[in-house]
Amino acid sequence: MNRYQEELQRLEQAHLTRSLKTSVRGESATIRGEGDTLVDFSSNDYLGLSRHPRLIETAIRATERYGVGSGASRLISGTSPAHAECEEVVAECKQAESALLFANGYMTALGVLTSLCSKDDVIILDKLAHACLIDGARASGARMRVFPHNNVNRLEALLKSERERLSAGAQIIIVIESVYSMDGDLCPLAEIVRLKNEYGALLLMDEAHGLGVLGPCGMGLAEELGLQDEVELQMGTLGKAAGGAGGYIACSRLLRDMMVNKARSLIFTTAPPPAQAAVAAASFDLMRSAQDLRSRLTSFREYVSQALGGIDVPSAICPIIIGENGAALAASTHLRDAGFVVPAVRYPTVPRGSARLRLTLSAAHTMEQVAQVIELVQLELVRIQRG
Amino acid sequence: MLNLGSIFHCKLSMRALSSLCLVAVSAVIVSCGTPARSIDPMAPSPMDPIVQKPINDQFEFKPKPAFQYPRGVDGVPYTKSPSVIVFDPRSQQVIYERNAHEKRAVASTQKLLTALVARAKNPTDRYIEVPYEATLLEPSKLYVKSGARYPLYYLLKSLVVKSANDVAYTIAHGVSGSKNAFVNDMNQYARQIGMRNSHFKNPHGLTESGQYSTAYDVALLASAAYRDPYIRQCVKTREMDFVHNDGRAVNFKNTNLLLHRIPYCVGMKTGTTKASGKCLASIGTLAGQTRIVVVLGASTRQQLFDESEALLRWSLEG
Repeated sequence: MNRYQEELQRLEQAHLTRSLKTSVRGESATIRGEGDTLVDFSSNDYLGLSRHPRLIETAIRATERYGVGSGASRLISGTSPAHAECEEVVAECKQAESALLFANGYMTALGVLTSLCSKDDVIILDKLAHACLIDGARASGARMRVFPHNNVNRLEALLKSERERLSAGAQIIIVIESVYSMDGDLCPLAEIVRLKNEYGALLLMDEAHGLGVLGPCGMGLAEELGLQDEVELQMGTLGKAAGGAGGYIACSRLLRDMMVNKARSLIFTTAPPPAQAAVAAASFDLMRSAQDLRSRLTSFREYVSQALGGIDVPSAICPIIIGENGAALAASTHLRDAGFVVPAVRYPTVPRGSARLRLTLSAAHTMEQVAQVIELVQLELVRIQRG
Repeated sequence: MLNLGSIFHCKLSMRALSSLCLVAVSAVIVSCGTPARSIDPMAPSPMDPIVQKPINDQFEFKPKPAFQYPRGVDGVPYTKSPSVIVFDPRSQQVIYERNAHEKRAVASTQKLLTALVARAKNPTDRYIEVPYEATLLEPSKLYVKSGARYPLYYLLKSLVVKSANDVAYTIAHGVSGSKNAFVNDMNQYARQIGMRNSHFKNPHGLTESGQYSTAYDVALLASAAYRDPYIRQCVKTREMDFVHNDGRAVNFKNTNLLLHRIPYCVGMKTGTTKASGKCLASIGTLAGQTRIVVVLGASTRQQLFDESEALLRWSLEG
């Protein structure tokens, strides 16, 4: 036990201790916890759908109809009509042949990569790919290569060298995100698609932070650029802009069949509750027609961009780099004291020395809330600069 | 992505846009005759609405210029109000004051004491009945009906957000049995927290001969109120719906405009009578520092909020 105590003490000394905090989500992007009501700039509920009355009603009705649990794995008897219907809706929205639901985004990444890759294959990841994609790649046993963030030249060099080295039947999968979760920037999708086609690779793109936010119908960056047909594995989560919970992959029937037969994170776990799938289906329907919410979010992004000196805010995520862990934590604490939740993100979630405030915008915010948090951020930055 | 260095390329102070509609807060629905039950006032009510209200704020991308206010030779903002104080509630030190010990009427800022006494004497989930006498009070009121019953936590929130006098009287009567008994409790509590130059004669702050306090004492009162977690939550509530027993809902905004003018202002209490002038106790917290500003006797609302904002910003931003 001493080893664990020492490890926790070491984390504490490095300002890296994490803890769980209980809170209740309220309206107008507020959360209540620890005796306080705070304005939440930490949530990934980009459209504010987590409290949408239609989704709540859908959850209630589906629960009444199917019960609270699925009772078994998807492959045993856990696949309900709600799961099947949701997969049809997702496939249609993503313009794919089929789709497959998982319990969450992490399980999706794990299931997809482990079922499609083995030790003879290669997975090439962006340096800033999410931990679930890295873990999935590791678990697959495939050779892992990493290219610097959004560096298509290095990606091409890797593709070239791996294609020359690999046997004919081996598979290369490029793994990227449409919107990077800690930096909020977008991937150069068009260039990556070109490289993918040139070197005969498959492309897995996680739209976790693009879904609902980007694209005319909110289907993400691939839709925005008209490249949905070019992304063989369109992954996403249902717990962010979609407002509920779960993960999905939209792909060809062939790839889906592979996952159904080989994805251990699908096979060896109880299926997500049918209500979760029913909510996801309704949420996709809502997101498709939520132009007003996306327009509101865009207005907030424009405001933040202008207020912070014209910086680029291409998504709902606005990182404010502080540097040291302690300073980032202090800034986050000060904002919390003033009534705003803007979390500090530290190593190992982000590289050492780039601890930051991660401010996420939502259509559920008010303009006043956005203006106030930006003023506070500015005051914090001035304070830090002054030392 | 924003790096630290780029911040100096932009304006240092962005102001909230005053024309915007304000944050909607949770409404609590209470029905007449509902039996008392154990309610944690800090927890969300099961009757809280679970959907968002229609969002109708407007977008405006031109930020207002940074707040500027004339300063005296000592660097402190120049204020005209007859009695002011800037106070550090943690160290209990006075940072700046002018006539802070002068006895004066403090109007509804003394409702903070009403709230504290009520919190000390009764569980906040207790239901309290509106006495007939409460309905006779003017001017600021919620028009609660005689005989209606509300939980104390609901009345306390309305008391500090709306500053309703009928609610203050209802609380006093319900908590101590009579107005006079409650006033005794108020004075006793005031002495306990060090308010040595104060004497209270009613729970609402309407003008009454022999009722007075000082800016310093109000700062002590605000300091005590801010230590109470429930009052702390109430005073920063920007807007609330009060649902009467008959289902009629009234929406009102917090009378403390600093909540919308300064992002780190976390609340407190206004007060106005002819005798007291315009009064405000406000509190802000920035970068780990907390300051209370009390301004008493301002001539206009503009002067009151401008001077309070200037002092709060000066004390925390420098």
